[in-house]
Amino acid sequence: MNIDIDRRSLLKGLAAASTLTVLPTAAEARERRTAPPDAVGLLYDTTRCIGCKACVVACKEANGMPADTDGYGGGLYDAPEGLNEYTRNVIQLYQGQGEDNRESSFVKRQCMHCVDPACAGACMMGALQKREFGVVTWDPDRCIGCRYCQMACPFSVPKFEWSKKAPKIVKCELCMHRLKQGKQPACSEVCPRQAVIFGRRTDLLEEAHRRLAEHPDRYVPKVYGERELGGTQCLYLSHVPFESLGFRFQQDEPVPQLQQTVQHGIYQGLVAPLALALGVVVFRNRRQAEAEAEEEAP
Amino acid sequence: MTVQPLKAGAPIPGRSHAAPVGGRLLTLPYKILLALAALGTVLIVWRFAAGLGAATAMSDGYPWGLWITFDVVIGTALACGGYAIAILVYVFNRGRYHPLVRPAVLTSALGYTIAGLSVAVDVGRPWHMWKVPLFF
Repeated sequence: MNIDIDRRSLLKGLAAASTLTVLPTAAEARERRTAPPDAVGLLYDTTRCIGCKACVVACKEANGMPADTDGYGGGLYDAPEGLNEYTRNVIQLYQGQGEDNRESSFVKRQCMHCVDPACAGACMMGALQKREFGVVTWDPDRCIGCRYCQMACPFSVPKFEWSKKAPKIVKCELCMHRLKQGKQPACSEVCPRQAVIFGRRTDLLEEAHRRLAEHPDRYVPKVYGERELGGTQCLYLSHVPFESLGFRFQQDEPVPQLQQTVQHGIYQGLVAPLALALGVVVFRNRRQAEAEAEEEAP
Repeated sequence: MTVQPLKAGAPIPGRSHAAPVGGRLLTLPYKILLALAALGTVLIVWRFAAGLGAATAMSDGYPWGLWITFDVVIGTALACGGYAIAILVYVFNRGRYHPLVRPAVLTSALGYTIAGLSVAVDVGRPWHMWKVPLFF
């Protein structure tokens, strides 16, 4: 018997078998997630924000966060420059090029509580997950501190305590402890201009579209977070382009969509790798059996 | 090309026999590497005492640094040689490469051990690493 031909056909069969195992799973593209029915969130409106930072102070108070005196004022003021390990919520300024103030804008930054969060998709331990109210929270008992969430988040939200012996991931959890008491998040509660309001995601979307319809001249005609990156539970209305405010991604596809379709397609239930390993064993044993048969033949 | 088939249980052609290399252990390169390892141990203690930021200059902007390339990327790449040689010799029956098996398996053992241990220095909360098989 010609071993060479047989090996080829066996290898072909092997490849075909593993492809057949992989393809059906991979072909079922991962289902698009939708916001949970109890999803709550924030609606922030740049045209209403006066940059008073009351929300920043209230957030620190409500979450017991330390002051960040590294920024302005030579150690005198709690004035965070951005989200960091002391700051879960911050007001930043986008300064437009023109002389018209309308080209500048404040922007409130905190976790967007994505409908399909990239951080949760990347977190191999399930420490970051969507939990009650669709809020993305961090479980200290699961986190190993690998910082994959930081690499994954398209909004650069999760922060890490770089100088701690037992570092934590720091991010907005929409004041989960207050939500459980039936209160709203601290930032939306103190906002003197209702620039940021709290509510069910469906209600907030309705309100956002009402404002867009009422003052179409005032806004960029979209609600950021309605569809972007699979949708977020924190929504934004803006009078300057969203790219200027630091929202780098405008596409609808969630970050984990492609990655999880591929990875779960290949590794789901470890079926394909096991089939491949089994194929290798069968291939090896059959060749040995053939070798023996050939030897025994006259 | 035709492959020389093997009989089940028959010795693999060209199978080698391991023997000690002999010679001194504490050579100059060995001592230099020992000194480097001692320095590394001090730095590991410093990292656990002062936090990751102090020892690595990693930050929220660069959450992964040089360490990830050394612990995971190089460690596992070095270690995969054991699999490659094992498949070559035992599955594809290339017996003449059998002398490579022992060093390849040793390298694999060292590679995976180093990768596993050193990534514990790189992650922030290594005391939860035993839970990885539970939640992965």
